Amino acid sequence: MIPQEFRYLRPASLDEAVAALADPGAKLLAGGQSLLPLMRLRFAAPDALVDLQDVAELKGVEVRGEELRIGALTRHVEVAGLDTWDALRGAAQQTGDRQVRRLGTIGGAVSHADPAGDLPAALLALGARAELVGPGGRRSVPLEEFFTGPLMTAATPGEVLESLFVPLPSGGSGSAYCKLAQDASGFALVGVAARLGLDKGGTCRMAGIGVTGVGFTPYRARAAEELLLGSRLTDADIEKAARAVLEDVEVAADAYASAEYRAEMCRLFTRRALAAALSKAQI
Amino acid sequence: MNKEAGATRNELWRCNPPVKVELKVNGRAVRREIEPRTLLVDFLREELSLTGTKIGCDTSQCGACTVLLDGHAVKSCNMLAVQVQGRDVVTVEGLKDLVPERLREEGLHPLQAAFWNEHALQCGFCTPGMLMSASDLLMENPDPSAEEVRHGLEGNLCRCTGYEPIVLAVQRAGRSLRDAGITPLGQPREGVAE
Ligand SMILES: Cc1cc2nc3c(=O)[nH]c(=O)nc-3n(C[C@H](O)[C@H](O)[C@H](O)COP(=O)(O)OP(=O)(O)OC[C@H]3O[C@@H](n4cnc5c(N)ncnc54)[C@H](O)[C@@H]3O)c2cc1C
Ligand code: FES
Ligand code: FES
Repeated sequence: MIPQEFRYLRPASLDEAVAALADPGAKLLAGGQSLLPLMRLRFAAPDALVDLQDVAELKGVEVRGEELRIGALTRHVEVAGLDTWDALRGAAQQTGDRQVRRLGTIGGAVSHADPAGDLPAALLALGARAELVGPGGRRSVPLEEFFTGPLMTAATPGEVLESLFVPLPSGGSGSAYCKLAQDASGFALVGVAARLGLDKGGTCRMAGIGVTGVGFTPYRARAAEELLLGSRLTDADIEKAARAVLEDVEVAADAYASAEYRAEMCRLFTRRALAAALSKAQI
Repeated sequence: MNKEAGATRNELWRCNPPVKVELKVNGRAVRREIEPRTLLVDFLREELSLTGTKIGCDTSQCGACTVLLDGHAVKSCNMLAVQVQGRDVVTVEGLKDLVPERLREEGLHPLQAAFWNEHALQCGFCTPGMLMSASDLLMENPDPSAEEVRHGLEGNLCRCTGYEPIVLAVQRAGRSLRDAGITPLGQPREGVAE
């Protein structure tokens, strides 16, 4: 279908974009790979579309202190090619298809907050944070607090997601993203990102697990992480963590997977992601 | 360009103040006034009468609408024409012109010739999109394995051929382009000729 009519705005700076968003009927357009399909189905019908493509402040990737700053407009294909955590590159590489990765952006993927989004899982496992800019200025939100419901986030309607900040990998750390994709759509039935950090003696000092496709939002599996900290990451430790990954989560069921199947796959993919992260941390 | 040939579909929708767009399509500068909500695929098909680019779905999944934007494959049904202001679009109609004439087979781009020779189409509806995605794939990887072709074309669906001949065709085109020492976009490529 053809989208409903809208005004098209193309701000040249972040200030202009924030000003344009003051109109309650306005919506931001990044890669358009989630928003345009919704507009074509007329599930979304904004009065004004604010195209971010000229906003320089939202672009670029660079190291800032102990973090990697990734501009919100960074495309999936660019994230897939970054020299960074395997979980992040892997999630970008497994998002959608060639054409979608060419246009879709990391800021759009996080803001869209699809309950089965791949990049959110990786960013959760890595302990990333989002920087938002709005009429009230700038603020930082840990990704763990960002996803508040299906397609809902902690950003207010007037705020622009400017960048994502990811802690830099350190010695003895490793990560991985493991996804069970639905055959037709390619979206995750289950996706698990894991990050592990070991000290010199091989004891687990850092653990992050991000899960997508399973609950109402992508989430960080804190209970499972706690079980790994201080452990030697034996098979038995990983098994215990995998059993805890669904704690406090209502597992989704749909035409593609029953709750039982999803839960079983979630445990399996948690074991796989942890094992893969561990083998990378040991290199 | 049939602007005079009666009301195009785009003119029928036109009820919002139009915006000006200028872009390059198949090497030629194009300037039009359109409604902001005009999808790139409709702009190409309705405004420019470039109907080689197909519309196969309403869910951004089939890839039949794939074109090259600044050399890279994108789904033209999932972009607005105004978004590509000032940029460079190549559709299947312009594919053959990317390579020098002496490297065309019966006037076709090596990718098109390979699809023909390998019988990589039946109804042909998915073919324009397949060609554009395959061009992007071979830019990035001049010698893909069968598995890499399958993964590289995951954004394009075909309902007829069963994919096997498509994979063979892309690998065959890869060979011809390597032998000719050029990329699918016609730039010289060093060091990949066998
Ligand atoms: C065929 C297909 C397959 C796909 N498969 C997958 C998949 O397997 N896994 C997956 O995770 N995703 C998938 N996607 C979605 C894709 O990853 C999108 O690119 C992504 O969800 C949205 O990014 P975008 O830049 O395209 O955002 P847009 O579509 O432009 O915007 C999405 C939403 O985010 C808002 N927004 C965008 N940027 C900002 C910003 N900087 N600040 C605040 N709000 C902003 C917009 O207003 C809109 O509400 C698929 C999409 C398609 C079409
Ligand atoms: S028509 Fe564009 S993806 Fe199907
Ligand atoms: S040849 Fe018919 S859809 Fe591919």
